[in-house]
Amino acid sequence: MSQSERLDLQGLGGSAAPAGTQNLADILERVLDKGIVIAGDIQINLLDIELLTIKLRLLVASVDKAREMGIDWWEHDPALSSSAGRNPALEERLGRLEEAVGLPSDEGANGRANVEGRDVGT
Amino acid sequence: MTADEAAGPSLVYLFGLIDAALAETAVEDVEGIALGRPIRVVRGPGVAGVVSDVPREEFSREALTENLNELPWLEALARSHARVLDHLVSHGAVLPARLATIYRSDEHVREVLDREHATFARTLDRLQDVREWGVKVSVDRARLSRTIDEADDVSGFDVAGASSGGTAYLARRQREKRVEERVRGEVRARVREAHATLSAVSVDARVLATRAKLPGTNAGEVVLSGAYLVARDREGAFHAAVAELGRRFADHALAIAASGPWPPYNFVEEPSA
Repeated sequence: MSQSERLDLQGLGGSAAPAGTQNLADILERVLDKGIVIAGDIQINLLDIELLTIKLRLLVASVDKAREMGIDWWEHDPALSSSAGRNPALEERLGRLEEAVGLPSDEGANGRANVEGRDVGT
Repeated sequence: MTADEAAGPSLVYLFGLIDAALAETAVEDVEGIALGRPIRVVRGPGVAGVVSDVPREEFSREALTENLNELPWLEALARSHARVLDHLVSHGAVLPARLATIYRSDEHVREVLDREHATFARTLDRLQDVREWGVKVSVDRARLSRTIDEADDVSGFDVAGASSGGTAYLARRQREKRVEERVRGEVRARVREAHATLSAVSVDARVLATRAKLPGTNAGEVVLSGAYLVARDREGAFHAAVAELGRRFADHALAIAASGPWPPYNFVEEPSA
């Protein structure tokens, strides 16, 4: 049982474990894939949620495994911590990490989520 | 271009739905997605949507498509989304909306509420005074195999008495297969036991898909992932049941752990009969 899945017994019957401390994979598999489907003007294409979920699990696991091994250079590199736009350098390195820990590569699978809805302009 | 389609700087992000009567108390000064943009409500008949404004440059269709594929951005959004829902569920029933359900304006949210409020109200009614808990049972398969093998009552073949190398190999292989069968049977029985025990103290329960075991990680292999909708006044009994299962499972190389409490993400549909 991984550390992040262990029950916080102090939380029994009382206050919630704050969302910041919950396991990201547990959060994502709920907020992406569960909850009511309400027709929004913009929303994630339901058909792509499954692809995105799979890709994210691999990515989250790669990152967790790397951290476990003491590798966390991307958290200290300002160029890599920017979230604006795609980052091919980071993606390439993460791809190599996935290979290193023996995870299947998602090459060829288009794991990019598509967003549907009426165009509300950029 | 009508007034509400003018290209303003904000779009409206929906977190979930609550009883309109709770709207005032639920929406205190709580931060939404973007800094400085608190959550607020859009009222419909009996049901209210909890929303916050978000910047168009990050949440338009094009921007969202890019940003959802950036893990840090997605992580921040998912945690904000979950944080707001955690806050709401502490005030009363909430119907979580999925991540990134966005509207051009409050009017558009109101239109949806006007159309669907009866369904939403029925679901909210069902979700009073309950919280979701996640439970995972995992197995150390290698250790369980050793335990069963060492118990040495696996019927079959006398390895020590075999006369030739080939016979000994076959005998060993047959024994391994028996042990594997026993391991599978043991895991199935414990999974059924755990789910039945926890379902009995829950209002509703769901078996969720389990993720495949990741090679090279220390995590155990998850053999049951369940979501349990538990009445607030039965949470003590639920966690006592989890602890008791943990004690019983320890000798069988199984572990059980709960996560939560969660808003009722897995229980927005009508319960199965």
